[in-house]
Amino acid sequence: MERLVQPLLIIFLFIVFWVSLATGSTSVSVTSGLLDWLGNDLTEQALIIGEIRLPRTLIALAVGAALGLSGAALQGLLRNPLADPSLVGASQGAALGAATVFYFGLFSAFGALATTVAGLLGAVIALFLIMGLAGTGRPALVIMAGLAISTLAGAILAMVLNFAPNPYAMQELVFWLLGSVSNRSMDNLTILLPALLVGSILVLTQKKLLAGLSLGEQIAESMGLAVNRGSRIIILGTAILVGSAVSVAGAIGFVGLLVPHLLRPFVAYRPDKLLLPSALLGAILVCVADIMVRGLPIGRELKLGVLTSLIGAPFFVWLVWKERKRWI
Amino acid sequence: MDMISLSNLSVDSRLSNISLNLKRGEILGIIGPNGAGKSTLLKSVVGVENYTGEIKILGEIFSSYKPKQRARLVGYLPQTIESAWSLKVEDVVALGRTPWGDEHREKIEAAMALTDVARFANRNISELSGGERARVWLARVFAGEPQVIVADEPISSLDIHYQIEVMEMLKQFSESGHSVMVAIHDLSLAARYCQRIILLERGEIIAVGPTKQTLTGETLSKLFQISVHCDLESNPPIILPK
Repeated sequence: MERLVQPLLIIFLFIVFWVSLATGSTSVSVTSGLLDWLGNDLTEQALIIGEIRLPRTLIALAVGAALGLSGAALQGLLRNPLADPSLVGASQGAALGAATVFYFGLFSAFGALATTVAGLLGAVIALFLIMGLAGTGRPALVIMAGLAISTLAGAILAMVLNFAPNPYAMQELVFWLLGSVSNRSMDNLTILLPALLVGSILVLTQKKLLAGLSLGEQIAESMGLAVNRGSRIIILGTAILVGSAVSVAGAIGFVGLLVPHLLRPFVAYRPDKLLLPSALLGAILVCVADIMVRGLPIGRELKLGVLTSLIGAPFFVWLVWKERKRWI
Repeated sequence: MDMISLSNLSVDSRLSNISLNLKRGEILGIIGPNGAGKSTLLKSVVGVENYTGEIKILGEIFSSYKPKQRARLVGYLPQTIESAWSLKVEDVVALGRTPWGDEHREKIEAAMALTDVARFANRNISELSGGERARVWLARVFAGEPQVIVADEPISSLDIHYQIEVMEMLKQFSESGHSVMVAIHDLSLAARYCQRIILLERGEIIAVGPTKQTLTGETLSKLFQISVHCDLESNPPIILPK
């Protein structure tokens, strides 16, 4: 089964990708739309597929992959199945960065990309503050620092909301925070993809450390693994992944927490073997959720982040229920 | 050449000026009351504790080794191990190959056969008893083919059957040209398996030497503040509190 997980997920990913391109208010042929778009033939179906659905689908996949991968990496690093990507603080940092765009109108030179750029900047600043505050690569301390900076950014974000210049700015900000991949362009992908690539490489270089940490920090260190340096690399990688995902799509909850849970039994509980499948399943889940969002009647838009939370939260309740049986 | 030698090793206020050597083929027992610094001493030797002074492995200064090179020479069996995930036994044993950067099947299987864990290779570690787990932890260390095993109270939570089993495995390991440094609370087993003993009290060595000279009623009574009955001539040797 372990060997089949990855190929099966890849096949499923392609199916979801295709279904996502085919789903929308207008019925168009995906193949001819894609071919027209690739051939620079600006037909109606080429515009619908290439300019609207393709960026949206790719962003949904990239955001889901980033969240799934960072969830698996953080749970492995902290040896805790309840670790969530928001723990590294980059998530709130990105949200605060994006909020400044709505509030102060900063980065207007970047046009539609302003929130993404500001979000990424916010994530980077949060990351530096976390690393500076922790002063070490010890996972527990880095996460404590992450929580502290995350709380601080959250408090400032609440203040920004409190003093919003007008109700529209506040509404726009709240809607953005609820998470969505609609109305995104390929320009957003040009920011997201390099971040996804760099973050993923950083995390994937630490597979051995994640495996070694299964038996604790001291055993990992005694086996010659660089626990401090490796932990920093994992935190940096996940912060880049989460920061870029949040800055493009807002907050998409529960994906990073639940995806590793779902997959763990299929990879013999090995944290090193969990990484790529988590990225794949994260991508699939976010894209499926986005397809569901698009299936709702026009005019009653449900934000993607709200839907993932609505699906994820009951699952989380079930996990707690299952865990409860072991203790009571 | 000594497998490991320590000179003037100190770790903040927990250890001061420890000098000792570990010879090839021997089991060196570290004995002392709780808080004497046994675990700190062993952690320094495996590179998970900062220290001042000098540690040499096979005559070379500790810091001259890259962490992975050092880990290939010295395997560490800590006091308690908690696996964060319900890993399969063979995956736990395979972790022992980490310093080598491979998952050499034959060596993993040999380590499992040596410790008799091959028959539950596919079971999850969380399903095993304490004694079975102890053998798996030892198999992980054997899979790394170290020259020295540093074991921190490896038998403290085991019943007498598994205590003997683990100590016999360490004995076989030492007899094949390797060495073992072991912190141990069971004085009778220490007398039975260790060739030399170091008595540690409040971070300092108070006695070091061959087992028969070190484990005496007098030294042990002084160390543990309790009268001790000591019969090292019986087979097996017996050391009990009076």
